[in-house]
Amino acid sequence: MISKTPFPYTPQEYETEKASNAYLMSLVVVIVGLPFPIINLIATWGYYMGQRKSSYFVRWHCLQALLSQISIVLINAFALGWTWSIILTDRSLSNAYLAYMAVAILYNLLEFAVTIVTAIETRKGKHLSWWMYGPLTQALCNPKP
Amino acid sequence: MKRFFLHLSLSLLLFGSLWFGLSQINWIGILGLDILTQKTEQKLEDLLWDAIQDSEEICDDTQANEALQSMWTRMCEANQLDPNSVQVHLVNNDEINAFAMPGGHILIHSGLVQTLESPEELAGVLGHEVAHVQLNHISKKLAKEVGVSILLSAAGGGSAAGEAIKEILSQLSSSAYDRSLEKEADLKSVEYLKNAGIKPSALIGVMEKLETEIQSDLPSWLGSHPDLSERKEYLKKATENIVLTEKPVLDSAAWEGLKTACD
Repeated sequence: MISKTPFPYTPQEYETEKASNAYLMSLVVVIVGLPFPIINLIATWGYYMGQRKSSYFVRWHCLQALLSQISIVLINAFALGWTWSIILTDRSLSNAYLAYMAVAILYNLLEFAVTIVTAIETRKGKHLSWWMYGPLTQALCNPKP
Repeated sequence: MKRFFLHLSLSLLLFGSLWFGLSQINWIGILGLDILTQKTEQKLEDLLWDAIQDSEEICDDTQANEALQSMWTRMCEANQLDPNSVQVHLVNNDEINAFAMPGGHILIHSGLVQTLESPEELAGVLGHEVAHVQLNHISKKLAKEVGVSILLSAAGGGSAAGEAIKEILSQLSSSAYDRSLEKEADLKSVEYLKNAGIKPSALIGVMEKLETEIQSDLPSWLGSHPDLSERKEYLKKATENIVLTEKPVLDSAAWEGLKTACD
């Protein structure tokens, strides 16, 4: 899920703090984001925009934190939509729905745990690359601002 | 990017497999949700019906009830509907109203019957209410308008149940369904009538006729239904090309008997 990879340079203290905050941002808004999943994405996007002139290390982690919200937003939005459709329409509770909710909760917990670990390790100056989002961030993030 | 797409594919595969795998487990059965739902619904149906019997005077005129039953049976046979899914009741009430309740009870007020001009119009109203039952609109409406918590509180008994039952009955008898549900029920009624050899345009006649009643500020069956002109328009479109061999719904004696059954 996450792997420690080498970074082109050793980040300084202020960089690790800013980079770590990008992950904390997604955790802080998680309570608001559960009923309204898009809030997570907006918050991390706002933080990324605020740091887009920062150093490569900071931008890289802000972008990874932002991109990692995409899957969680899609999964939670679908869960929310399905739940509302059960409440408001004649769609009934089904095994497929309950199974989806179980997988969605599992994914949320996993992402939550990985985000905490990444925030802590990034604060220590370690460069953690996520499964799927690491390679995407690497491809999208330009070393020069 | 190649690694990203590889990871993405594997992630989707893992997510899908996990979802599919867990879907094969009978969660509804294991968690007892089916029993809970059925029990709650059944209890609610019984409580609401008891409340109606306490508050309304159901006409016990045998001929009138047979006339209503024959109308329902005809609609039922022509549309392959379960005859036990609906029970039609004539209520001695001057208010121009008809509504469906959980459990398939359809209540038609004598005030409405007296206002209508023909049994075909009554069949149109009946078809509309049957559609609400068959399309499961009632539970949708209750969940949305009354709220799941009140439904559970009503079904659960206790001190709050009485108020909850009143609230539910008030919602069922006095307010409209969503516009989309009303349209769905109107168009389904057209289908029921057509299949039963009853002219579906009778439903338009009901609306046109009662438009004046609404203007005179009567709390009517259609008065609470939104956008009457819009409904007439789509009903005209839906019925204009229907050609059928009409068969009378009731003979004139039965119709007159129905109109005066509660007097």
